[in-house]
Amino acid sequence: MPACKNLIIFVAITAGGFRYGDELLAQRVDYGNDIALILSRHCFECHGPDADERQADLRLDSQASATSPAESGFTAITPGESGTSELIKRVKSNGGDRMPPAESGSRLSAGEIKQLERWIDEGATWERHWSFNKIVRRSPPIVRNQDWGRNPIDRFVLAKLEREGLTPVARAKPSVLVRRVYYDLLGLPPTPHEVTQFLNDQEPGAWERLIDRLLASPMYGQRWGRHWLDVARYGDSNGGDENHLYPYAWRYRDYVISSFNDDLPFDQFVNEQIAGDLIDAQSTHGRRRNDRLTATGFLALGTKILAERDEIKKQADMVDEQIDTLGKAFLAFSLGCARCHDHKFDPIPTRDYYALAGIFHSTKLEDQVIQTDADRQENAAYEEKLEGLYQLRVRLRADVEAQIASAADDIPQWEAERFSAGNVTSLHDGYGQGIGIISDRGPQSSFAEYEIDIPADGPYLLQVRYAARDARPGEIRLNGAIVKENAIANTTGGWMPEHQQWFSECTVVLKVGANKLRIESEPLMSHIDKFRLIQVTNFASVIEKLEQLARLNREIIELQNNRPKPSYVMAVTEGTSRDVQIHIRGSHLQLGKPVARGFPTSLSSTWDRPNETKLRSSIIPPAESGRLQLASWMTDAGAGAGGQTSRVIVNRLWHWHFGEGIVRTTNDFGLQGARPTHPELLDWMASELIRHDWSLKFLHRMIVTSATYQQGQSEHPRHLFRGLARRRLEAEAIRDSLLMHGGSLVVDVVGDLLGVKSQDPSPADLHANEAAYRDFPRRSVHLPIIRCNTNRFLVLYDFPNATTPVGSRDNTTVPTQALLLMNDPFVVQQAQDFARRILRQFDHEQSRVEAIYQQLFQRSATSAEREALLEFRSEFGKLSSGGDIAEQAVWGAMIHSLFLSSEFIHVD
Amino acid sequence: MLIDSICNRRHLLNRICLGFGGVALNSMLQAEDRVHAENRAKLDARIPAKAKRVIFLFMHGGPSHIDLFDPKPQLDRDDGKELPFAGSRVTFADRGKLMRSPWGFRRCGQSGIPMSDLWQHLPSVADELCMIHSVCETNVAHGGACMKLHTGDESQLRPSMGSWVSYGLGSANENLPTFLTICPTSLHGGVNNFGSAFLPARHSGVPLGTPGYPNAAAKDARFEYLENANLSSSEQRLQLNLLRRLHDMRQEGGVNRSELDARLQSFELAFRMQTSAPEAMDIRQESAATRALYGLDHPETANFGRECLLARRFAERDVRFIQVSHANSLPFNNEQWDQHTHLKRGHEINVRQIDKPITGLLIDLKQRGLLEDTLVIWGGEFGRTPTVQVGKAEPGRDHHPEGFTMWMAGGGVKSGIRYGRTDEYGYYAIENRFTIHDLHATLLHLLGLDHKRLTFHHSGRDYRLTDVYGHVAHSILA
Repeated sequence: MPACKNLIIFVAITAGGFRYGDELLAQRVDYGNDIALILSRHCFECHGPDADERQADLRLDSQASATSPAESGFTAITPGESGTSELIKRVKSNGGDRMPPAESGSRLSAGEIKQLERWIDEGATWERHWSFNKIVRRSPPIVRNQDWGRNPIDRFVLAKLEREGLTPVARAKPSVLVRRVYYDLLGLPPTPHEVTQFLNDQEPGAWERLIDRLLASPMYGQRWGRHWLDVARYGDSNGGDENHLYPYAWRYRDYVISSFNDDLPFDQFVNEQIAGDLIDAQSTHGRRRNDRLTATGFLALGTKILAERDEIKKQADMVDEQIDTLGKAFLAFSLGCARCHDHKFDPIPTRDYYALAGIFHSTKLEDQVIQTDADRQENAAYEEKLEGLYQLRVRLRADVEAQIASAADDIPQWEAERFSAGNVTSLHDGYGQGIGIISDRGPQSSFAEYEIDIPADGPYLLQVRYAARDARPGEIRLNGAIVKENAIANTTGGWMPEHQQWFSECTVVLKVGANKLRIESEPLMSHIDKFRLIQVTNFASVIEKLEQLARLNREIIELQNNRPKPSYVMAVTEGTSRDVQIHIRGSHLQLGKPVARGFPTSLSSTWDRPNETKLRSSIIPPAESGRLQLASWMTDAGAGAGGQTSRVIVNRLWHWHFGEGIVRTTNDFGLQGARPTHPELLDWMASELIRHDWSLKFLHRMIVTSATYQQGQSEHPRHLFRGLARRRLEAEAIRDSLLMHGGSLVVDVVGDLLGVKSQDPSPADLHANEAAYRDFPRRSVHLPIIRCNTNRFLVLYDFPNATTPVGSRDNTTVPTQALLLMNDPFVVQQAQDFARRILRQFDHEQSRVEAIYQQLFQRSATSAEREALLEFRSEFGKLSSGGDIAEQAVWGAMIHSLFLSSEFIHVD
Repeated sequence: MLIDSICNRRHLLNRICLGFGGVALNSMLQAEDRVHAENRAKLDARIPAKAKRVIFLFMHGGPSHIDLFDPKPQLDRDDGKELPFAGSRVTFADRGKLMRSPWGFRRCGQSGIPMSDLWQHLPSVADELCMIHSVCETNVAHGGACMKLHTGDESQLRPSMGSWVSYGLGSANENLPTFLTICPTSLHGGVNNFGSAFLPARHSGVPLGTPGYPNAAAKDARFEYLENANLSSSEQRLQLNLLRRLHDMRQEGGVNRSELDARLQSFELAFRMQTSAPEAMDIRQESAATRALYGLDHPETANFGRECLLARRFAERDVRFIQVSHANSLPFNNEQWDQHTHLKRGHEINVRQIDKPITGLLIDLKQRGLLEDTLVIWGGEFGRTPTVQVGKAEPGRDHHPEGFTMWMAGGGVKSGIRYGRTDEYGYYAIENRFTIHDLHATLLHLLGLDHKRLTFHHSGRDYRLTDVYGHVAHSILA
């Protein structure tokens, strides 16, 4: 990028007369570094890979086309002769033939034209874009200074420094290093004890031992999982138009954290996020199965316009979001551009986009049930309790029946099939085998009537014995009056004789002599065997037992109604497999040719011949979406895009460790992106990663133990990784540190969704949300990310807008951040809590200041600093009245001031 | 002053730009310049400007064009009949037969711009207005339509128009944000409608009043984190003195000093803002006559009147883009202009709430000489159907993005004209169709920005507010 380069030259010169800038100017013009960007920005719109928009049949991205006569008869580029090249004439022209045309609004700068001229004069060579090349593993270069390097990374870095006549920056002080690496790997500062532990370890390998300890900490996953969540545009609500809560998204977050902690090989991590549900799909619900289903949340949790009335557009937008995220996150390519037209700069034709789109149109979003350990325990406890109640019921029933049987003569009983009038059917085999039952004759109003003779006046309990798999409630009438609605309404587990059970229906007061009992049911009737009447006053103990039984039944139903809820994850699953048609200019209303499902193989094919790209759709079986195949293509370093996937994650890791990637544009390895500053190092590490089973912890260890990483601070020239830049902490690290110093940080690793309101919130809801965020004592990674209403603390400190993959956060300094730190009750509270602890633990001013400095800055206060603090104390004290509370307020205000300091918020 | 011109690369290492919306630090500009080298493009985008700032009066819910500004005699005649041509492919609700407007219309001012009988005050400034009757192509649902109106895209999250204006013009008052939104809604895109998306965060709209449903009351509209419950101003002064003293000790000879200095200055600025921002919002400074002009003396107009008055105070202080939202505060159901039912009752209340305040705003801007370089825009995310909505207790109308009315005033647009036309039922925009992209292109043009050149490079491509669309409506330019 020309502007970028100018900047760097300028910086280099002002920083102290390096020869670097001059040398750069003397170098040959490079197609990849210089020319491709100029041409892609100004010319490819009409003379690039996009076949539909191409004018005059001229392609400037193709040597063959650019050096042959175009439609006009002129030749755009004649190698070696900028003077006769039509391209140069046109870009310099002010007339009607000027290029780009005046109405485009685009114009080449004088510097750009000069570069084009030099490139043509130097022979105009085209070359394949760097990121389309396979990984080339070169041996680490030979360096002059043999003492500095600690591992091969350093030789790549040093070789480049030596070429520029530079030397590395000396190793940082151990107290600086320990702060740096704690924040880097865990996102929190070391405690004074941890600092001492490291500084006192004088044995060789102390640094490596520290790194191993940190990488084994569960806090590592919280820190680095959060980095990945930036890339995965993680959010807990849809965040577009209506902002519905995603109640299960947090399980994906926890999956990411545990994957980092477990050092899940990165290729598996990628595969699971694209096709976890399809990997080893037959396996039962173990933890891996749960994790794999959870992983597909990656595809599901993007922003969506849920109220869109046009369902076709809604689906197309959702697929587009998935493709865009997938491309940027794993391959650092913006595939989304090809939705409407062939990519303007990168060789990604529209049909590659729709080949991929077919895969995602064949996939559907659907929450899936998982079985967590907690679910299993809860289910087991439930089953055990239920079984216990069942057994109790069996015993109680047997007991009751035995008592009733022993008094059979005094408890009148009637067979249901002996009705005096009725329209029901009697069955003596099948459902009525051995017992005889009645039931309906089909859907109708069924009834059966009984003339019953009662021996004595009094209250009687009416019981009916019946079987029913499904509830078929009816009514019971006595002498014409309804005595029980919703009678015979229970279910017994089946229709057969073995399912028959006695149920108490109601207590009725009967007169001696003839009475008429009527059972009705509509449209269908349970299988009724018999009924009986138990005189309440004579059989008090039976009635008591029956009441117990009724209570037990209610308990069982209550328990069954509170069966443990299954756990869900936000996920995708296979839909109806289909290829889709090209949407002309991206419109779902104008459809073109269908495209077979496949992958953008152009990413690994010859870059200037995209039309020859073979879409390997034949390997996607017709009944499958193709996600499984896409996942393996993505991580296949041989035939697929695995090399690129490896480069992209290596570069991301490097960026997160150093604040800058080897490729500055971490999400764009395309023609418009930056070029790698150390391409050989990038490829070497990418191949190391693959060789070491895609272990990210291996990569961390290699980077962090390098001498490059352990250099002291320096700003220039940053792109050579000469010294480390001072970096501001990320939002989460600031908030977590404040909580830690306040003494209230909770570091649990697994989480749940904090209850906050996302949809249609009122100002009161939003204030309640902020209060919930403020009172949340856990690490920030566990805060819900309500899109549109993310915790203001995080947002003000450049927490990313969680709608698109973010590989590199902004780093702004705005007065609203200052206002937040000065006035937010959360910040004030942490300072006050810290002060209270310090006052309790230390009696003397000097030791208090020392403890504060060790805790916040991992160093002692200088005498001047101590003096300033103590002066503050006395001045501040004058403003308020004395007493213990005032003492805490003063120290709290002092600590608060230190929270505002640059030293607190930066890492050297 | 243009923030980005002060902060050009030449001054990168020794100049610091401060502003409410952002202390543009070296490191930040470096990062921006490095990754987005193309973003110098915005400087090429400058063209002569007619307006310096925008006040956007956002009517949330979809005001009914055919009941407010766009009379349709044929609709009166065909009341109760079927729409005689095919309606929209995608609709929000079930639509019934044609329904005439319950209100009569009259021609107002010298220009004869028609307004319905609902309006009592606005007719007095009819000759200041530039009516646009052919606005179209938002979306049939509120969310998509609001996002389209504010950001140019109905489904992807893009920078809002105010953010683009902030990015293109920079700050003119370092003590206030460049883009303010007064009492915004939390619905239908919520903060996305004033968010900066991939533009640097300092171009985000700063909400005055917590975005909400129902909306924050105007009297609760204030900047966040501006007050400290525990510490007095003199105590905070001591804290900042200590901060500076420690800073000076530590930074002697250190690298990257200017960046840390800038951070320190952001605290000083924040401290000053604790007095200057409340001053800007102190409407007690206004005369009783002015307050009455905006309807602050009447309960029905006091809330929106206060929002409009604040807008004028911010316009005076050179805030670039001020949005005022009339949203979520309709007394009987909060739905403001969204009259699927109760068209009559709802629109009557709505007009009563805004009529006097917006008329007062236009009069006040004019008498202070601000109207000539302030572009005022009035409108919602769509209009309403000429057909009645099916299945509602009281007559109402459905969402209608196919053709509806917005108006502009001041800031370089012709006054007293009508532009564009809908068909005889007010259904489709049929003449001088004015898409949201055209609105954005015209708006930027008036502010002196070429919408095709105001670009930002993000993840592999140059983005514009108008994507690949948009035409400036030259015939409405004064």
